[in-house]
Amino acid sequence: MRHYLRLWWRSAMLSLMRQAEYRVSFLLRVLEGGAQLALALLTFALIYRFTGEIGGWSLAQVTVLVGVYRIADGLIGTLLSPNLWAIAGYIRTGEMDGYLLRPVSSQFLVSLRLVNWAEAVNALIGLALIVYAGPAAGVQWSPVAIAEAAILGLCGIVLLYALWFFTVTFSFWLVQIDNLDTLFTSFFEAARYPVSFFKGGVRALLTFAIPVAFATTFPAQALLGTLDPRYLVAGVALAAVALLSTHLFWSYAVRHYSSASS
Amino acid sequence: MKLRYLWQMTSMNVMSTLEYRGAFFIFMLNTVITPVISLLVWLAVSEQGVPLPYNRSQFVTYYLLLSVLSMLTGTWLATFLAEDIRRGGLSPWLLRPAPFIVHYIGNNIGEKVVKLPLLLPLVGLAALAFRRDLHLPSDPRAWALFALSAPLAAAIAFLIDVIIGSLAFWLQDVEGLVRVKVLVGSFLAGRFVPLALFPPAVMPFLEAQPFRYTLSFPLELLTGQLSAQATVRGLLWQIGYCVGLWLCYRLLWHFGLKAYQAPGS
Repeated sequence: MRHYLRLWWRSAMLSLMRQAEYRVSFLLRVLEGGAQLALALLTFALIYRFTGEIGGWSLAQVTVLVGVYRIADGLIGTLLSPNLWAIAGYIRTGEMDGYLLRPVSSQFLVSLRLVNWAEAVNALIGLALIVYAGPAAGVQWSPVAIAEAAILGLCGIVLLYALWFFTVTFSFWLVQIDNLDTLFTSFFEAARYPVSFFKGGVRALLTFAIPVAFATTFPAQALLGTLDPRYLVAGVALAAVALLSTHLFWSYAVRHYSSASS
Repeated sequence: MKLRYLWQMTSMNVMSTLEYRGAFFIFMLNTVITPVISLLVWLAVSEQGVPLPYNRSQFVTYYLLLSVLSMLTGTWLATFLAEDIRRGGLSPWLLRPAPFIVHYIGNNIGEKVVKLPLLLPLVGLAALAFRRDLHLPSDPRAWALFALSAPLAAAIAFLIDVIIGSLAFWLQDVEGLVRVKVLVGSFLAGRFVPLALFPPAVMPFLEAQPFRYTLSFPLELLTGQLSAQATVRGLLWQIGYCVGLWLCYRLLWHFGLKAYQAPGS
């Protein structure tokens, strides 16, 4: 475990050194993150012009959710997207050989090796927003609530990773999965809103099938003190099962890999 | 003469797009999902029983047609055009008998020809899901105005992208500009919040900015909120933007080609 942490830290530092060369694009990303936040807040300001509460959420509470969304989006963009976008390419070009040969888990290497540091700014912006909007929304800042939110957020990100990684693993057979992964970006849009905005089937879909609720709604609810504690148990259990499934599927898929290189 | 080139470029693009129909199917799925999410949110708001400028069926009409119209008025050329200018892909075109832009118009129309039959069944499914609140306008005049306004909207969106891409004659990287345009442009085009639901104080601004005429205005014609006077005014804005942006494009290219230095042999 410590070995893996050290390995990750090394590659993260390598990524940082590479990206430090491109300061302008870093700055642009920060500006874009700010604009995204401003537009998200504006959208909710426009929606709440008509009513004080939607699905049990006030504007102040939704602002906390916007913060959680920025954190989740930032973490996924920092740690996962740069890797998951690239995997189909490794398989197509035969670059996968290099990862299979190394004496560590190939799933670890292809999933976490690259780090896009500019995206981490989004997570910081989100954190600042929660601290700012917290008091008005009734956030208590108890250690238990913060721990619950962190655990649920982690589970949410693990679940999204599992779903995405599962799809990408199909590239071993399909070679071109085209842009199947852009579907995730689309569904993640729904995570901008509390799941309680949606009804029946759609809510169930966003909670269990495409579990964006665990990444944003439930952590926000933990902070606000309105969480149904059963979701904490469900989140941990689902995340564990999902992670194990990706591991099994990946190991199975790797055995079907026929290299594209010589 | 030029029309023949356009026809050839379009059919060529239809063929090459068909190769990637799987990818385009996913694109179309995305095109439907995002408006449907917004629609569900607004239906949740209307559930609160508060008076809104739109009723349920207007929201359904707005967002379902938005998914079709946003495909029909979609553009993606700015990045490609900038790349062609920066890396010299433009050079061979300067010798050909058709202006470079025809290539991009052909690509735009060609992809849309393939996208439409992929998109319509998906919109049909969405319509089925919302059938309880689905009441499309029956006034043929509204549809005629829509049919007039939609191509103008596509032309404005296209020209805005051409202008941003053309800045590559002078700028190293237009990607940041493209992303800002996508972000701010979709917001001001009414993609998330219909412009009719903005506070009255900002209406004069919303009416004057170009993005309204790339998406929102044709939809407003169908949700039936506009007076005859506002309709005529909007159409005039659309024509004005088309002409103005086209002149702007010609001007940029006039000076741009002088500044253009192609790398390569």
